[in-house]
Amino acid sequence: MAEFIGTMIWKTGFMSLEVKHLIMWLIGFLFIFLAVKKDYEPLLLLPIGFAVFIVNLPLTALMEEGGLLQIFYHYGLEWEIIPPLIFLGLGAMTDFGPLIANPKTLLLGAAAQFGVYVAFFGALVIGFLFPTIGFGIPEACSIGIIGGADGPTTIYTTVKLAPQLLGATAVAAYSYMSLVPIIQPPIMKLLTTEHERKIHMRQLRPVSQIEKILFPVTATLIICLIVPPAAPLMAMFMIGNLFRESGVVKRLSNAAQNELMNIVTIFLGISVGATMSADKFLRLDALLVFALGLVAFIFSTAGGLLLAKLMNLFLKDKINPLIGSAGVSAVPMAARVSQKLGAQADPKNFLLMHAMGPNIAGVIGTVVAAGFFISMAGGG
Amino acid sequence: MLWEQAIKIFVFGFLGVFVALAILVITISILGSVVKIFK
Repeated sequence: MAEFIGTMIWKTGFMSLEVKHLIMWLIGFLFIFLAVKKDYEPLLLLPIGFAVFIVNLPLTALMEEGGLLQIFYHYGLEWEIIPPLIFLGLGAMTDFGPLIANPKTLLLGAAAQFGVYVAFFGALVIGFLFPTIGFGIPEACSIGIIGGADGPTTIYTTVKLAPQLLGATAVAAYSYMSLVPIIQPPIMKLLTTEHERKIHMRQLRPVSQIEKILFPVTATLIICLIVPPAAPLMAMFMIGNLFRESGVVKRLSNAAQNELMNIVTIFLGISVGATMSADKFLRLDALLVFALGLVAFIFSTAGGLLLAKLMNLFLKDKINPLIGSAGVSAVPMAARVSQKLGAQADPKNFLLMHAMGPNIAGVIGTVVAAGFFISMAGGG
Repeated sequence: MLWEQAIKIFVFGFLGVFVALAILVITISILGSVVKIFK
């Protein structure tokens, strides 16, 4: 009997607990705290935090072959289903009106990918100097794309190129997205003058429904022909938008925006958190991913701002450079930050709608950058 | 070899993003003008 009890005790998780598990629990609880108390990306950090906690319970085998979370991860992320479905919902939520009314702001979304490439080179230099860390081209691409500030695209790229970094890149992307109001303003103030921040922009023209219907079709055609690996994300983004703008399938549009988006978000959060087992996360490379992600964010913000300043040298109707920083996706937080800083310089300055153009362009730009990474780094 | 591929990814990738979005800018402008004419 005593032998039986002894065996049973050894089969409990308590006997296999290690310090690394406790550290991961604390990280999971930190995410839950940030979500509940600070309202930082709660829709994702809450499920991610709890998944981090449960995946680090010893002997539960949740991420072993056939385990519940492994099944979510396998079919949701490895099969590349969840990120495109998130894009379907995002497309149904997005109004491309500001972008169509002022299409040159698309270029700000392209310039804001600068940080992606800075972090890409940063990761390669680290990998070159310290080969044991194991940062090659695929890893550098996955780390760089964090600078696009687009969670689903980061996940999509990482799963294709460097799945071992998924937990770190996904959490870095979503963490920095939620920290946009803290990270961006100092850079924006540093790179603009008071006079530039006060620039008023001309009111946007109204956009007709036919233009809004033609946009998703045209954008899909152009982007998917130029960068075929971007098709899963781009096509789903645009079909969601077509649902919205056509006006004839309100049920589908509502389902994509609400029920589908909510369900997919649950599985996305759980699947990402499930990749954060102690063995995979408590490593130097994960810390470096966070550091490089921050670098990427800073340079992406600067890239958008500086291009706006450059464009002003040639444009008759000046652009307020603050909207350039909104080119780092993070919709709509980055646009709100532009609005806030513009209003601080001049309370009569309304930049929100102007900033939505580069903000949405940033999403498209990041998808295109990811497509090029995948096609050139061997993931597509 | 590594740096050669890295430079290729940077040049073609970053320029590619600009080219793709610039084509989109031109297309949107043309579409806007065409829609305006037919209105």
